[in-house]
Amino acid sequence: MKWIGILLLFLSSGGMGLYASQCLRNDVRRTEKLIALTEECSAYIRYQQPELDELIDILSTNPTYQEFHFLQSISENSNPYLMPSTIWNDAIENDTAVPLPTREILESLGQVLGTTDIEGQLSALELHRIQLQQVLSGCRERYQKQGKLYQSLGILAGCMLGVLLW
Amino acid sequence: MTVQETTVFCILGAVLCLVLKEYQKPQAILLGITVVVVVLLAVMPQVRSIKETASQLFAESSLQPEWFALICKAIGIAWLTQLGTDLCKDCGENAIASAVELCGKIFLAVLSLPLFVTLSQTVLGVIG
Amino acid sequence: MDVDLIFKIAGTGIIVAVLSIVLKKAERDEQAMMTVLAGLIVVLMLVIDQIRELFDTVKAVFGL
Repeated sequence: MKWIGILLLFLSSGGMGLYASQCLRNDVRRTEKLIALTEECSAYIRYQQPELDELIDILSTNPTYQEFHFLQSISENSNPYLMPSTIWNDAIENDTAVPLPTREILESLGQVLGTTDIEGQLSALELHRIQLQQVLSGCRERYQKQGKLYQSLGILAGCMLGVLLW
Repeated sequence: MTVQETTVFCILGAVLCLVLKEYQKPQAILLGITVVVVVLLAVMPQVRSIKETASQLFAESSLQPEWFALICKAIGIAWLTQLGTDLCKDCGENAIASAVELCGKIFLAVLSLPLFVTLSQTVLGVIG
Repeated sequence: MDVDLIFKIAGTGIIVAVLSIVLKKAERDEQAMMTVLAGLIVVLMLVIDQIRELFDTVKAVFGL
């Protein structure tokens, strides 16, 4: 019984370390997807000039962005009496898949989309894309520095607990 | 507890201490203390049997029995003092080691004072 | 013979050493120091019982 307990402790603390490292990796991956999202928005606005609702519908049905629930909740909660930016901000706040550093950038993007002319929207999208790139490089640096650290911390803490309870 | 086991145990402990010393000197010292303590604890029953045999031999002689207790106490104080001094020196604290040694000497002197008193009284009795 | 205790202390010492090196490399010196201190306290707690037993036995055998 003791061996099983020790093994479980070791696995759980190793698992916690791996989970923390995985969270950082997910941040990097999701920021990359958001950058791809802005690029797709630019492409649609440049060549198809859709309405904001149409654009959100197209994006929310795209399987690449399925994990971002804010797209679906914006298209569901489309309400002519509420400011679109309020709906947008609420949807982003409630979406746990959006990495924290990118929230502000996405909220300010929501202010711009559907408001100015095509050139204005394209340059705003470009600006936000550059900001997201900066956030991405920060996330990557954090993942490289701390990802391995969290993994090894988890495993070593598990080893120590195992040795102490042996 | 055989002599091979204690020897192997001590050598193992010494090698582990050497490994730890490279990285964490305090842990190495603590490991050394543990090895010493565990080995001495294991050997105590043998010391007890030696003491009992010695006390029987002492009882058969014509010396006063309380002197045997005194001798045992003196041996204990000397032994503990030596242990403490060596452990402090291992930590690199020579001053503390000297303090331990000095304390041991003082305790031994205090212990043997009644003996000196008896001795001087006997000598004075013989002379005067 | 308490070989288990020796391996526990040696294992804790090595793991604490590796942890402190990993934390120092990640530029978290305060956490490294805290880990070292925590390891020392844990080992001391393991050892103190044995030391007390030894001194009790010595007191009993030598009549101190």
